[in-house]
Amino acid sequence: MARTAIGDTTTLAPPRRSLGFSSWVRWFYGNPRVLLSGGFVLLLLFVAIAAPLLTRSDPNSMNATHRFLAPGSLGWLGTDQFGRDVYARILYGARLSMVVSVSAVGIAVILGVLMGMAAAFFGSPVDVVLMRIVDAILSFPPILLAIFVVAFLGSSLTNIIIVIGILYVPQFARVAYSSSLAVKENDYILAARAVGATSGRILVRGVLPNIMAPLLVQMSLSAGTAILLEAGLSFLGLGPPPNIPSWGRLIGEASRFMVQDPWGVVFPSVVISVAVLAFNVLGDALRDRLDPRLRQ
Amino acid sequence: MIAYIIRRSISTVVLLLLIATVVFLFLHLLPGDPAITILGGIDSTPDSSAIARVHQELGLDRPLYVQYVDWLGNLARFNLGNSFTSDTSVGAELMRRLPRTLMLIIPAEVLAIVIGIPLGMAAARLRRTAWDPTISALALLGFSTPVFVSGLLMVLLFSLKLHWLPSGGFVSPADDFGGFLRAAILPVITLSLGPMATTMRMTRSSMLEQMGLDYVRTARSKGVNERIVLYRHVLRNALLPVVTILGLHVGFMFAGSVLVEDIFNWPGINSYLLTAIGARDYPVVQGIVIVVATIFILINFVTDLSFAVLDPRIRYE
Amino acid sequence: MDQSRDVVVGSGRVERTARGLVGRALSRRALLKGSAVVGAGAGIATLLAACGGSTAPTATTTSSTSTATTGGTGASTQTTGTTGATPTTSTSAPPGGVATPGAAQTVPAGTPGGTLNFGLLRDPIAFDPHIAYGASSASLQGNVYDTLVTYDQQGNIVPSLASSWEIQNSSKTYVFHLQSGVTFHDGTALTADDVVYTFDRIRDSATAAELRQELANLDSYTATDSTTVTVNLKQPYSVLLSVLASQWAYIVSKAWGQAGNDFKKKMNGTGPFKLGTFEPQVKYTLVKNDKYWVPNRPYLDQIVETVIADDTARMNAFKSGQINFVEYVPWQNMDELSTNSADKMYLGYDTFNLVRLNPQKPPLDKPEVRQALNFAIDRKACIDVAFGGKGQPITVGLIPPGSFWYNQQLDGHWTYDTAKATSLLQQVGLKPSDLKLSFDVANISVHSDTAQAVQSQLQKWGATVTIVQQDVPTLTKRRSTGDYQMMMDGLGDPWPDPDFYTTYFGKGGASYAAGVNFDDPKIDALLDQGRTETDNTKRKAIYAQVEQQLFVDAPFIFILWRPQVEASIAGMQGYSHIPGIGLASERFMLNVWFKK
Repeated sequence: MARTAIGDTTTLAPPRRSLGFSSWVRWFYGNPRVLLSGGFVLLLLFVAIAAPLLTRSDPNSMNATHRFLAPGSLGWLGTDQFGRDVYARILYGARLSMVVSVSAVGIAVILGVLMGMAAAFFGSPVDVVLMRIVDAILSFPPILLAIFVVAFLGSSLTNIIIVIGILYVPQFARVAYSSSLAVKENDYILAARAVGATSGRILVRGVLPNIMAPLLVQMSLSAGTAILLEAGLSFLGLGPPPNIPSWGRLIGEASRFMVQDPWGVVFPSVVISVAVLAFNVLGDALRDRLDPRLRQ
Repeated sequence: MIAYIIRRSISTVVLLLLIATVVFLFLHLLPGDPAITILGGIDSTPDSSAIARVHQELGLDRPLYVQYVDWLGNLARFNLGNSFTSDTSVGAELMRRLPRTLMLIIPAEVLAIVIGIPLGMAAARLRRTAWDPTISALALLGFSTPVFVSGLLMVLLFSLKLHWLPSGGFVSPADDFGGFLRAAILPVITLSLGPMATTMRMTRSSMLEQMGLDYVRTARSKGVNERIVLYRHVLRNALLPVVTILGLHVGFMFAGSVLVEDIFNWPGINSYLLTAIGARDYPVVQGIVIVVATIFILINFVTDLSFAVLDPRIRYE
Repeated sequence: MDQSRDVVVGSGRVERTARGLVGRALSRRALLKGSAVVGAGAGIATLLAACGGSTAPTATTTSSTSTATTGGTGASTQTTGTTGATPTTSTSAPPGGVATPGAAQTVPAGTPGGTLNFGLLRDPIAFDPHIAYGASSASLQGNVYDTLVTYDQQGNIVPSLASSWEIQNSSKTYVFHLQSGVTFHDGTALTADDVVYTFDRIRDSATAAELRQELANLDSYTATDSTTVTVNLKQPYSVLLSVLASQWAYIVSKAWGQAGNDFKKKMNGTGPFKLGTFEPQVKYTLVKNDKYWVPNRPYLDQIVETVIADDTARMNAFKSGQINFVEYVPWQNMDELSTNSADKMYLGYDTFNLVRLNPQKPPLDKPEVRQALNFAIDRKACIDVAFGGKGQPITVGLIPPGSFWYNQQLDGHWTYDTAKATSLLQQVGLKPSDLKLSFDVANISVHSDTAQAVQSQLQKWGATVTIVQQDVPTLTKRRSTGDYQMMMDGLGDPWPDPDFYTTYFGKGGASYAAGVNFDDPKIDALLDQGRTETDNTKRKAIYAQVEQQLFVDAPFIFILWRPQVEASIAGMQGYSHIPGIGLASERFMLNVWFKK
């Protein structure tokens, strides 16, 4: 890595990268774990978009005579305590969970990476200010933040995304910060600086690709944990309104009926676990793909 | 280094002031009235004269800025004030509640490190074997199960079915150490599962990253003992991002302990905070936020310093 | 008719216990017989003495008072006088009507000792004996303090700190004779001055006492001598004894209060238990009062009350044996408990869920719209989905079916009839799809479950209902300022007398259930009439008129009586969920004991 020729700023990015579209396709199909995890993530995205096409049941339609039905008898996965179709609720829950997770992580990545990189690269006093803001978020009890946002803005989907997005900024900011600090000292960055490359160019071409690996790992973890965090907030009654199905609320509600209806907890829990798993495996695979140091 | 520490301390004070202001302002603007809680809460509708009287007793009838300055003045003297509802000293109550939460978080973090790091190393070393996916899958399972599901399942199994352990509640270790241990086992394990998995994953990926680097290859090609390569070179460098994650853990442990305290009826600082918010007990909420924030900031400070120790390339001027 | 109210379920079978058999019209003879068998219990000497006298004998007064007030308590088939003559009634324990507050007539003498480990839903917040902190506080204050009069296990009004009383001057004067030998926990003796001080404190607006409106009906009250309190009323007030028996009428010590002790932070009562160590929001210990004025009570050495807010955690603590008594058992655990022989369940349908309709917020300002919403709800379906079928629809008003006061002829008024609902809307030129309503709900599961069911019903009918979920203080604040359109709520009647309608719908009703923006002069006039009338048949007819006027006003969507359940281990004796008293039955732990 340190072999970049001095002055050759075009090779700022770590070398040996062939990331053409066809190579991605080959990578996707040639790798069973990528195929499975990536496939599942794509499936989730598809379900989130096409939920109404995949089930005819209304996820909120209650039916007193069809409560706690076993899987298969009516609706693939049975019904909950209100007689609602669990299959439909999981499909619509995917929509909510994906929207929450993707948007919240999106917000967090953009803000966090900008802050972390800027702090590492510009040094004092920028880093002091930025990293103190990050510390402030980190040291603020998440529940209190959620309660504040919900109390002032009401409990809605957007506000849950805002809460989770803000809560995840520190993760990305700190990962970006520590990774950038390390990268910053590398020869090729020093070299680029020496020949007068602009800060922006160095950040985008030099630093960003090199901190991509830890960020991607973090993103894959966060996309999953965002779903879990939403579940936790819903469990405490701070999630989206009760008539929006979310996996978290599904588990939270079903956990009260674990004795009558263990399936009610099992299905959404399995779905959450598999979704988080998929994000993680995909993240790992992406890291291997993007980080040339691991390719042998 | 000394200059850095001084600078950092000053910025910490500024940061705390910022947090204190935000909490004070938001809390007082939050809908709800502590006087209503004191006069009965959801079960009562006190008339306005009674509410006004309570406001007067609590000093809530004064202009907001006066209350703010007053509170900051007390804070500067390390006086967190008294709870609106129980009239007990917030500081004293925190000294009772905070250790209980730490009694969950610290053992859970230790468990996460003691199990997570070796597992991560094992997974990295045994990358080409079936062990890696097995360990990773187990970690993912622990990591992707919501805290309240794993907690409830453990209660179901260990206390309701097998009757081995209590389903919740707190026993003071000073009164009955055995009872405390029994009460703490399930919540600590529940709390440690997520961090254990992240520690394991971070260690694994960080190790793999280091193992692919030139210096490792060089060391290996020179015939350096594999163990020395691993423990002396790889591990030391690999621990940098792991340490970052451990710092972050504390935040997430605090967040996770909200649910754990709720499920296991553990009267720690989170349940104190939740009750206080539910009662709009301003001094308590403000006190908890300030104290927790101070702890977090200190931990982050230590995390940042440990970078310098672990990574010689980072120097704080 | 019989709604299985207050059924003890144990060993998998349903026992209908003997309670409810003591007649509300217990005859003087029967009462005398009962007390004679028992012999000299505390207060009995007074009772007998009074009976022997020529002027309005206490016993008669007591029993007629019982007639006046017990109607509200449950059970249906009451055979007058039977119990008094039943041999099992009397041998060992004092009849509930005489010396032991809350005691069942059939309870044998208990075994002293043991600890009641009690799982509470909510922290009592503070100890003020005159403020309503919610049901959970009854178990705390109710066992530390006593009231002048109290309830037996059938919900009849019986003596407590007042061992007897006379009603004179066309029901406008009450003379209370205090029990002798009663001391507060700090050692001072109870005198009539303490009672006067208590009334003063409740009436002082600064206290924000729950009963300030009710005691405003007192014209004057004086300590005639150290053991006699005379209360003069402006006009007859037939609810007085019910009010004085309620869990906000605890008698406090004048000397202690005047010494500057804070009632919110400490307790000094005359009750069976003293406040021991406690940690706010976590745990409260009550220890046995060895000098309690009722002989051989309490049985328990101590009560340890642990706050376990989470339903699942609370039930788990019970199932794993960490606590032996639990309140607010969620409906989903009822079947499980009733089939387990190791547990006992105490059930009453005495808490109700309703939706407040703010009459100041269009389109809810039109009574037709409020009525229409009431007809658009399938109550049976709500009960099925939100409570697993465990509940009873409210088809009239807030008097529980099975009560003496229940107006059978009005039964079934609120039905599920969407055609009628739609036509009511048409009368004011609206259709269901014109209704766009916001619906405030606290994040409490029994509330939000019902709210979701209601929302689903109204949406099916064609209205648009948006649930706004809030935390409790936000909701309480909005309720107190009338800042809502529809609001989910759950309440319980304060006492088993239909005058409780005043607290909900009376003008300026300042009590815990008051609807902020509701006022109807017709109802006010009727409630006034009901309060001053002393004849029960006439009173019942008056409250029927109140309910008919409520059919027009429809200030709530009346939904359901929800199951209010406590559970204990099978060996626990002496507790029952008293009809009409509901959760406040937890005041009477003095009778509880454990079988070895």
